[in-house]
Amino acid sequence: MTEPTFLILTALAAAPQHGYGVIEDVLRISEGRVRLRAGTLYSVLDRLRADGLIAVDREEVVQSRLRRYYRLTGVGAERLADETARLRRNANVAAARLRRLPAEGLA
Amino acid sequence: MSADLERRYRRLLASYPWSHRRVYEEEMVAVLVAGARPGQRRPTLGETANLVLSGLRTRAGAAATTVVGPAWRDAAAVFGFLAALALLSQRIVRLLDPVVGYAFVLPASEYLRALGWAAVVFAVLAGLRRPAALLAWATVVGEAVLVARQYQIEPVGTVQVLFWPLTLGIVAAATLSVPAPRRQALAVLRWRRLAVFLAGIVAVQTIRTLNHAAQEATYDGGTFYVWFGLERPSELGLYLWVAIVAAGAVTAGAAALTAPAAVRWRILALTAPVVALVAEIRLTLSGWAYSNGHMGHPVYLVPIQWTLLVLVPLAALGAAAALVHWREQNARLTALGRAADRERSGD
Repeated sequence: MTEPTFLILTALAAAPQHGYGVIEDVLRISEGRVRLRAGTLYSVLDRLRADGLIAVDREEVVQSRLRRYYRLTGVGAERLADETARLRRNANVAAARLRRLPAEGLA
Repeated sequence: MSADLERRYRRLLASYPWSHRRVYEEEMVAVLVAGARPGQRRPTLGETANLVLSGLRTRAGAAATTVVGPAWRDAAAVFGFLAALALLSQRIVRLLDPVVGYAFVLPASEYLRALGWAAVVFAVLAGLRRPAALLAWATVVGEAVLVARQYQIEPVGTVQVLFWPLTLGIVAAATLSVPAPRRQALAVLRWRRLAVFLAGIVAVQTIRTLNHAAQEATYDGGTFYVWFGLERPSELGLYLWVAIVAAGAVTAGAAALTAPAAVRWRILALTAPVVALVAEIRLTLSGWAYSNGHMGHPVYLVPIQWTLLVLVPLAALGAAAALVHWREQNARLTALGRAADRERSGD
């Protein structure tokens, strides 16, 4: 799973959101590091919809602009949980090894 | 300001395929406009690159999905099988030449070619798609070597007579390589169409064999009428043979072209490279063939002619495939329009 995909699923895990909401939430989650562009966002959203990981929650028209809200599906939540566990395991191993590294190795 | 920016964003979104734009265009424009800086009049360089690249990637994905879609897959399976049968029938006619006295002894390669296409046909019937594709490629490569050797000796005859079966063999091998479920060709064709196709092919090849036998018999002199290699001592006899060959070809074609519409048009598109090659050789290489007969030594094709012999069939395939998709998209849009009209008149 790529980082944008992981972050988009994470954003939708909080609540259903529309496209621009996802972009802003991903920026917050990544502490300003990942700013998704529209092309990238909709490529990922399209693929996630096709794979059944997200679904359209509702549509609204605000100031004559379409807002389509997406939500995480059960399958999507499961995949996000699996990926989170995998990343945590990797991070734990990395942290443990870094703790054992001699002080000069970090210099 | 916003209208200008929106128009420019929409122009960039044209890099996406129609199917994607239909679902996401309004939403993407809303996101892009919402993310624009105050006073922004044009998409930034980053936005432009991102939209164009994402659009082209989506287009490539959509094209790949279409190519490996069920209609092309079915057409490829049917075409590969029928082409292998047609090529096998040609090889059988050749093997019968010594029997009817048209040839003395055939080289071992003729038996190998016949064996190759027979093995392809049996592999398809047995549902062994991969072995069928591998056997087809092996046979085609072997045939290409033979054709290359023959070209050195007799370029005109080779180009005019041997190039199109080789091209048909290449298309057959390529189509048999397309992943498909077991025995998909038979599932689409069904035994009835296959029997009709075989009857048509047998009629054509029987006349060719009889023609070879008769040619051998007429070498002792007398008047005979000739048309595209068919020879008869009477005009009526020639008409009869031409009629049987035409009826056989139409029957075989009808068997393939009574497949479901989506498959039928794709089968026709797959024949385009072979038809284009035959037309190209007839129309553009007749001068070269003529000069070959008067030079006293073989004149070989030059690189530009070789390039065109490769490019024209490929372009014909691309154009035919595009035509099939254009036709289907038109039909879809017409159906949508009709449905909308009905809905309106029902209100």
